[in-house]
Amino acid sequence: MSIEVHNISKSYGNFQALKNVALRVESGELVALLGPSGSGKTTLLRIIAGLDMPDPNPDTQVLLSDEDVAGQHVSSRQVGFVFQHYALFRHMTVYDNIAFGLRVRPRRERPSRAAIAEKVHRLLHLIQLENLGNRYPAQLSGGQRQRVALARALAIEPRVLLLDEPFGALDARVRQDLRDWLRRLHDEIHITSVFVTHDQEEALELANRVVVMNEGRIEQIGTPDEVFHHPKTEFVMRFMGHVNLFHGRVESDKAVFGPWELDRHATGQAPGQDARLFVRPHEMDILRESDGRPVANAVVKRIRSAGPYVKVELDLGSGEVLLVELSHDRFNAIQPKVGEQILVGLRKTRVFAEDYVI
Amino acid sequence: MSAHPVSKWRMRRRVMPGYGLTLGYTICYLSLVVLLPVSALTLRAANVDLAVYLDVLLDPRTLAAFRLTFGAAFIAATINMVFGFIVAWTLVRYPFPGHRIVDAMVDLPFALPTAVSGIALTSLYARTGLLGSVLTPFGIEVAFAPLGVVVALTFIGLPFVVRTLQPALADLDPEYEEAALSLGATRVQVFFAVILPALRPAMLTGFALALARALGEYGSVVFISGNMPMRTEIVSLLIIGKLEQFDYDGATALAMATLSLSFLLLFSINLIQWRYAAKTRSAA
Repeated sequence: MSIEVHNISKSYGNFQALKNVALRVESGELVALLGPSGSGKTTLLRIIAGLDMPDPNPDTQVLLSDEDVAGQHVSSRQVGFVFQHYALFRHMTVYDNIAFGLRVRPRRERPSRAAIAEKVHRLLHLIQLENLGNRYPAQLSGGQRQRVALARALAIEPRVLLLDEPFGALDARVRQDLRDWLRRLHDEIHITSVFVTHDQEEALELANRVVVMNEGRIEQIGTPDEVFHHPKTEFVMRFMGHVNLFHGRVESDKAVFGPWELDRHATGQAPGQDARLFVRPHEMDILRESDGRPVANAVVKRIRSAGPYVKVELDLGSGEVLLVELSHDRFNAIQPKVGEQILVGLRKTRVFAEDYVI
Repeated sequence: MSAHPVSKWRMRRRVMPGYGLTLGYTICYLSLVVLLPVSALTLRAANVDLAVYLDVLLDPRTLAAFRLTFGAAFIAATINMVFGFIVAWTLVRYPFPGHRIVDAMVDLPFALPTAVSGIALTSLYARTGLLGSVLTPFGIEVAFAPLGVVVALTFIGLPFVVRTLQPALADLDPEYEEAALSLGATRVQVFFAVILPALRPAMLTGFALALARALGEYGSVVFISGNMPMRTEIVSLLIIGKLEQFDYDGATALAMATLSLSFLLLFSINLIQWRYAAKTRSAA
């Protein structure tokens, strides 16, 4: 079941949460809406669900499997919605929570008691909580509660599954487990799913496609590889992780950023303008002697070797701090010391024209 | 790791200072204000002969008074639970113009001296009164009838229900309703299956408070009820009557019975609350 929205705008008073957004999610996809808080990602999700209404506009469309549902109430849209804080009914057992969506159906469509029991047990099995059907939500851990919330949403056999920061309230370890579990679940049941997150790692790891949002607009839509390795805008570049930034100028055949000179054609920028160079920490290297490529002098300020990478902070002399991530092997081969003078090289660069809009 | 086991209790440092002082004060204060009068009554009651108890408590006039007091209080608290809910719901959910004035009005039954409420209600519902003159032709008698007692007790109990429900309603996260709606529930189903059960503890508390207040009410009832023995006489009035006849033993017996019954009622309501809370309240 596909999801498609067109011309969606939403304002709260003077604040425009969404500015003319359009998006299509193909059947069976797992899509992440990624952005900082206030970027409109949750508002978009709630509009798809029917929990919020977009600003009235004759061109606005919300399509679920190509059927316009813009006028439909949330209760008839058949969407599964999972909230950040679970929103489990506290006075009901896990079993009753999951069965809720089936029991509230009109008598004619309501499954028999036995059919409900069978379905709930199947879902309890799916979320690996077979023996906890009689517990109350208060007696479960955060991760268990979120799985119950998911089972409750799946019980109504929704057309699409919408998750609002589903792992936001969990601690790091549980978050990772639940993320892997959701990925496997999706591979199993292939329900069209959209989840909201502000954690780029979560989006890149879990989603088939990532929709990066900023200030009510979609900045880029692409596979995790595309948005990470080929960010279309400066915002996406910055949002995907730490970046080192250098100001410079594009000239007729080269682009100059402090100590580094790049081939202009490789930057893809028009000559005669100011530009910014972005380099990710893991796309830099430190050297003892130049390998022919442009290098800059720097002083080692700080070394943090705990973790999968060694993080080295460098001072370029101008007071700017540069972050470089090295593999432990590379670090051990060079063995830089704090206070030592060293050379920095670039392995991969991205140049964006200077944005004068403030 | 104290070397002296004796000092272990004192060694336990707390972040907030003044634990000993405040606990001591609390116990002292409660003893003076609550425990002392209650135990005085209990001691006095222990000296009363069993025969007096049986004599007073099995008197048909007494039984009628108990029926009226507890029955009317129960009915009034129930009425307040339903209509107080609607008032609280409206005040929290729909901030209409003038909603602050209405909100302040809820407290009026609190603020008015009960005698004033009694006189106001009586003049309103008396046969010649504004409402009484409309109701009497239909055979509905309020003033100087048991119904009047219910009306008075409803009046004074309303703020208790509204004021306990308001914060609970305001705290009710709209996510629960949204979750239920997204699962296909209708508005009515959301109300009865999600909102109402979530508010059950607050409703019970409000009910208990309104009930307790109604059981103890005296001032407003004596004006509107007419105080007819066997018909509109409440227990408090019986006690006063005994005291005026210097029948201290009889008054004590009545007081003791009222105290025990009230305590039993409130205790069972609290018991329901505890059992419910143990199940559903999050440890976090």
